[in-house]
Amino acid sequence: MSASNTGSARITRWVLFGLLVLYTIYNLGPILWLVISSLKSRADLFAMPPKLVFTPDFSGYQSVFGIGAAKDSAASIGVFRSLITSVLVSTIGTSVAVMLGTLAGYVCSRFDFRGKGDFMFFVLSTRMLPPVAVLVFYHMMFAQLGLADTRIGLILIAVFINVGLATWIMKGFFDGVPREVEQIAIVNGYSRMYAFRKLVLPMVKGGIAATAGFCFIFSWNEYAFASILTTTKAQTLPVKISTASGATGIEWTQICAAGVVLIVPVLIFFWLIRKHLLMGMTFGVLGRK
Amino acid sequence: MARIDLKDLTIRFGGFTAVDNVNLTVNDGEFAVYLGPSGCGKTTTLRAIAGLEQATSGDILFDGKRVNDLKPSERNIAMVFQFVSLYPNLSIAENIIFPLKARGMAKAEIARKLDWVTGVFKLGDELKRRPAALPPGARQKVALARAVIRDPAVLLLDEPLSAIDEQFREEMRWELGHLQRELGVTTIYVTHDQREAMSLADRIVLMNHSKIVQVAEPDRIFFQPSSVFAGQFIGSPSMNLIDLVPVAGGLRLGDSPVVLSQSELPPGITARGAVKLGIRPRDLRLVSGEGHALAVEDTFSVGRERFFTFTVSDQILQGTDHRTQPGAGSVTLVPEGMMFFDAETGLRITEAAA
Repeated sequence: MSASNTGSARITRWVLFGLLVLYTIYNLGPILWLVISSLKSRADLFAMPPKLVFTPDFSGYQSVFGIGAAKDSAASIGVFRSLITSVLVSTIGTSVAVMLGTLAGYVCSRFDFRGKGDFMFFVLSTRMLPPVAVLVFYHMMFAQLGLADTRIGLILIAVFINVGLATWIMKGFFDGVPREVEQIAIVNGYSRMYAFRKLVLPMVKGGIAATAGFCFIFSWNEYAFASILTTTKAQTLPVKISTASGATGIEWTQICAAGVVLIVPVLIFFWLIRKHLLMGMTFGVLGRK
Repeated sequence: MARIDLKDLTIRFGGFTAVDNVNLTVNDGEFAVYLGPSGCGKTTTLRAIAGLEQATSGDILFDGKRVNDLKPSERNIAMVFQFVSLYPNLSIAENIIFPLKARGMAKAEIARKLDWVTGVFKLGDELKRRPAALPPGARQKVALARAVIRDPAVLLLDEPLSAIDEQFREEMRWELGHLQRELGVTTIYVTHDQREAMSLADRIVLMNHSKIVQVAEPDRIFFQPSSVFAGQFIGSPSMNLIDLVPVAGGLRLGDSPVVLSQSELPPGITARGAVKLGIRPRDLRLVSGEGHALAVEDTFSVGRERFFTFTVSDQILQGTDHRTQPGAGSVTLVPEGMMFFDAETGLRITEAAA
């Protein structure tokens, strides 16, 4: 390789590196600003020019978690309650969706039944549906059933938006498990249920983790349904943040703190399932070695 | 141990007939190999014997007892599949004793059996490891160990060696044959590899288009194929097939000048309709000097073996050069190697029938 070649290669590398730095700042900048703002007092927050050095003020976080001085303020009670709602809705909704999706995915992977293709498409179409298109009807239905502004109602929504995707992803993972796994067990006198629980399920552990990760993030971030179907009692954290305002105007510090709290579980979940993410994104088709 | 009878076995999937009216007896302790191209129904037959597919009509008998309605687990069979189906979350030992645990066998008995089978398969060092730590060939060995540990009445093997590296496959094939004779277990083995079938089988069951084509010992199926299909499917390189054209005084080989005279032909054959000649490359000789006037077009060698090709009716035919020294020559046909087939049915014309 000639000297000029190495030279231009080096320049290319530096340019690329510079672009990456810019891109990172573009992406992380707002998040960094959010974290900084969540630690500022009201006075520091509005200071001009913006302060980069300041005394951290945790009142925002205290009010999100309902502790400390802000414990009993009305605003705090609301935010803390919405955090609990978000956690409950996401975890229970995810658990149920993954459980149903795992069972349905197994059936779709192993058995042929009338209308299977249509069923699989229908299941997927629930994810293609723009929520806004059906919100009005959900609103009316929920009002009739007494599910409006309840956590149960939101859990049902979380299951609904996730079970189709969970079925598809899990079907992909089950397709990667040879049918012989169950057949050997059946030939040897074990039941299919035993083979499913003790042999097949352990082989798709990673797939279940990835599916759970996706479902959790989708329901954690879900905004459209939650914003229309709740008013006060069962607001989730994303909805609460968008509507938060206190007696003294908009509580920016509190909103920023809530925003940080909203991001953290997503980061934790992605970190936990990072090994399985790629497999999940390809619907398990890479599962078979 | 068991004798297996298939009586008029037919299996349909919707409109597709996968197994068409198959009749067969596999004797106690026999090593039967189902051979045929993919999609010919051999695996479906095997799975029906296992109970993993339902017979649409016909019966499956184990020692004269009808087993159609018995669950796979009630038939006392063991299976090994093409793709290794060990359980990755169990150790090798746990995988092997998996069938025994299902029947609640006593611990001491399980340990004794495991000891025996690990001795047979020389798996002593691997017992504590996980399947992922073993090469594919060794994994298939474990699958075999798992199959035989329960003393099955029938051992069903579905292309067990075809996903293994060639080098290891030879070794496994040899071990498998040896093991089957030692255990004396009735074995049905499915493969599309005729060399595997030839080296393992007591009898080959050749299938094509959902039907049995021929059932015979490997030597017999090689030397006495019942049809064009049998003749061409078995043997490598493949049997040559030449159209015979009736001419005055005999039958001519396609568009070549060579005429087989009445004395070279089975009696009565010229009176039949269209006939084809089948001849294996090993029964075509290249001789120096006179012979049939077939010109050699090309020669090539694979290792020590030399082959030559020539053309009849635009078909390239292949022969084996048996001479010690290469050189020019003309093609002759070994009379004993000539086989005649009905051009319409593809069936062999034996002298008795002609």
